[in-house]
Amino acid sequence: MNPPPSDPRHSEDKALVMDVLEGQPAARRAFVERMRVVGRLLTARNRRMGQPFQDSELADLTQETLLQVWRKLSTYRGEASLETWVYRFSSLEFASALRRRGRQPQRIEDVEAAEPVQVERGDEVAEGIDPPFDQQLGQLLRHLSRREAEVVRLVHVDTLGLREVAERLGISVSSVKTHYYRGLDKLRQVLESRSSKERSSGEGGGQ
Amino acid sequence: MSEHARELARRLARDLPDDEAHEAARELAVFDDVTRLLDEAGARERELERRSAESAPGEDEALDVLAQALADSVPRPRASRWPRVALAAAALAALVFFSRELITNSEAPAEPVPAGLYVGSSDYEALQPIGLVDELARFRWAGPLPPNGFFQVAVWDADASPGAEPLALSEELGEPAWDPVEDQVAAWPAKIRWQVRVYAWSRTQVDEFTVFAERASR
Repeated sequence: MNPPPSDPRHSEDKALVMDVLEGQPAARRAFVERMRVVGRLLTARNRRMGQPFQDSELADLTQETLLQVWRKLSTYRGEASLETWVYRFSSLEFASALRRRGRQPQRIEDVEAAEPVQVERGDEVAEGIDPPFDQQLGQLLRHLSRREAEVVRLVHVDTLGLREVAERLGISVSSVKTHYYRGLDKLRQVLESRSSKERSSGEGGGQ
Repeated sequence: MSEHARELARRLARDLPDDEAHEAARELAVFDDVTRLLDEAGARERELERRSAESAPGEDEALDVLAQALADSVPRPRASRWPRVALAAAALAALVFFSRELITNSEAPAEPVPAGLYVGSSDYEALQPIGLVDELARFRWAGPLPPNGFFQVAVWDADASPGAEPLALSEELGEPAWDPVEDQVAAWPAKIRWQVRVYAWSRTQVDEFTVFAERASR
């Protein structure tokens, strides 16, 4: 397994954060502008989940999330882009806010299912799974059970760690692992089957 | 994804017999393809989700709060925004004072320093010693300590040039108080300039204020 190639943008982001922490005004301005993404992610998530928060609540949540980002800024290591890093915060803060309101954080999918929102989505998605925006992701998740798809999405879209996924879903880490690897294994079989078919059709076409 | 990759490797190592190393390597490579595919799809999903909202309620206001928190280096709720006018006035006063002091020190003998002069952030209040006092001890001030941050006190001769080495530098303080040892204080001149520096958890200095004090008994 080869390590993923390092993205130079991440090291630029790391340098930007270092400058911000050192108090450089230009870096701070650039950082603040890039953090515009936080409010938009939360707004998109809110829409996707059927508008559980009013605009004023969403504005407060955006502010809280941004302050949380600031508090944790010194922990940013440049292993992902700043946008990916704050996506994780946004996702966690959104779930926490739902929890604080007495909703069921481990059943976020129920909120989605109860109040579906019409957005542009891929059309090949299994019933019961909230369709993602990205069609390829939708096509992959449709091969998984609802729980497996949920875990895979939290790991690969929300970039949560296994423990964070367990906390979010209210299940044990070992259960998360089971769902996760079972999901990966199913996808592996799907990919193998696809490449096998492609090879067969390629060979057939060549004759 | 390193955590998941490590987890995957551990799982494969546990689940497969040693003599199936070749098979394990092959499966690992295939899983790597799957996780890479999912990572790529995840990145696209995040981007699409972000683009699905072209604005956010209270977006500019929230960014103002972030900018203010960055400027203060202490995260603050919206209700307790920094008093900008007071900050600007304090900064101007500091600039005028230190400019004058620099010119004074470089061109002429130092003028008597007005005891009790206070220069610094309006967010902090020096309590003692200020101005003419009986003893230069028990340094006290009031103001917020950043989460996991610390204070540090530096003391100079009141007439020392800017940039001079301090006579004393406290340890990192978790409370707005410092009690220098008696022998240390005895060696100081009668007139001192003391400065409190405020540091965030990241060890970035986020604030400071300076006070002059004079020991009356000397």
